[in-house]
Amino acid sequence: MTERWWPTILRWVTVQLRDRNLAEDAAQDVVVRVIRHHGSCDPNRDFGGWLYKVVKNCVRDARARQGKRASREAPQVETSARPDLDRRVDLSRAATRALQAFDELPTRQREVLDLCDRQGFKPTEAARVLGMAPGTARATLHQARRALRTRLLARRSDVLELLRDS
Amino acid sequence: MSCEIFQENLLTLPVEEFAELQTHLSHCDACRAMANQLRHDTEALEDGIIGELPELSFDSAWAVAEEEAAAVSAPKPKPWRWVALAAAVVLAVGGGAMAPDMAGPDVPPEVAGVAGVEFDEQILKLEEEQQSLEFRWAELEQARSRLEAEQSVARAQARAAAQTAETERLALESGGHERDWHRWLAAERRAKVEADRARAADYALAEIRRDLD
Repeated sequence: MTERWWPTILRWVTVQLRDRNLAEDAAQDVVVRVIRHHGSCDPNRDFGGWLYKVVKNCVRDARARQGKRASREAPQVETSARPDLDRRVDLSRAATRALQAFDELPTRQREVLDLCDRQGFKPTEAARVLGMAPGTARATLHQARRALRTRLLARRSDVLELLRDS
Repeated sequence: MSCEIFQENLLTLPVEEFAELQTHLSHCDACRAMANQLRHDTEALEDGIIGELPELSFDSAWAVAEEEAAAVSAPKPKPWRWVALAAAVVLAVGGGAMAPDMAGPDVPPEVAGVAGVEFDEQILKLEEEQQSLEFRWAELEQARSRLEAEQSVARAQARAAAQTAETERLALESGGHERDWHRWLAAERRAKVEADRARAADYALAEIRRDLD
């Protein structure tokens, strides 16, 4: 069951943490917790929703561990908000631009957008997984699309110019 | 309809639905440029996210997790043995106080009396702890029996599902049609689910056995 959900787990931790190393730690932690606590999951209920809660807890702990590490290892150095920027040089310019716009969205908007627009969940399914009302999920998806696309267009002066002229 | 409304739609519609605005897009350069740009950036975002996914395979994550889970649950303390040991020590020390005549001539009777009261309280406390541990033990034993039954059922179902999958595979190999192909896939999926269930039952039972050990 967990194996079938593995690509989704990787995506969830990546979208929430936006840091590959942290995401890898969190994904590993998810599997450990699934092995330890699978007994608390009711097989007749939604496995995705239960798994998502496990992922959320692991992401929270990964962030906390990162915070502690950062304060212990380099308390005086101002750390960059995007420590993996160098690695992104390898990605294409468009992908980098799109990721920057994506990073600027609140986590909840990123999650809903990724679940619905990239992973093919319906807003009602995403709502169940995320533990929110279906109406809220739809509204969040609407806001997320608008916020992301506005940001993407703001980075394209040529398209903006055309739109202004029209 | 004005460009403003189309552009508003382009900001909020799923990218796949841009095609529905094709009539307008075909004769409006600005809206077409906006739609193309958004399509392109959406694909780029997907590439970017895929490029950021951790390169961690499920098998290696599972292997590490199994080791960690085993390492954490292996060295469990066995509290009832410590209680039994403590009770033995208290009996050995307090026994002398309960029987002043047997404790030897050096213990005055009034000291032996006070020690006797303290000893009674300790015995009561230990008896309560022992009762609670026995209750917990009985609960664990019950859970073990239930899990053993579940494990046995899960294993039998996993075996049956694996056999069905094998039968379907053989049928497919001996000149099957598309329908056989679907049946084989379904049987394979079912076998996988049952195997997962059996594995989960194994883990649960192993944990209970470790607790009881």
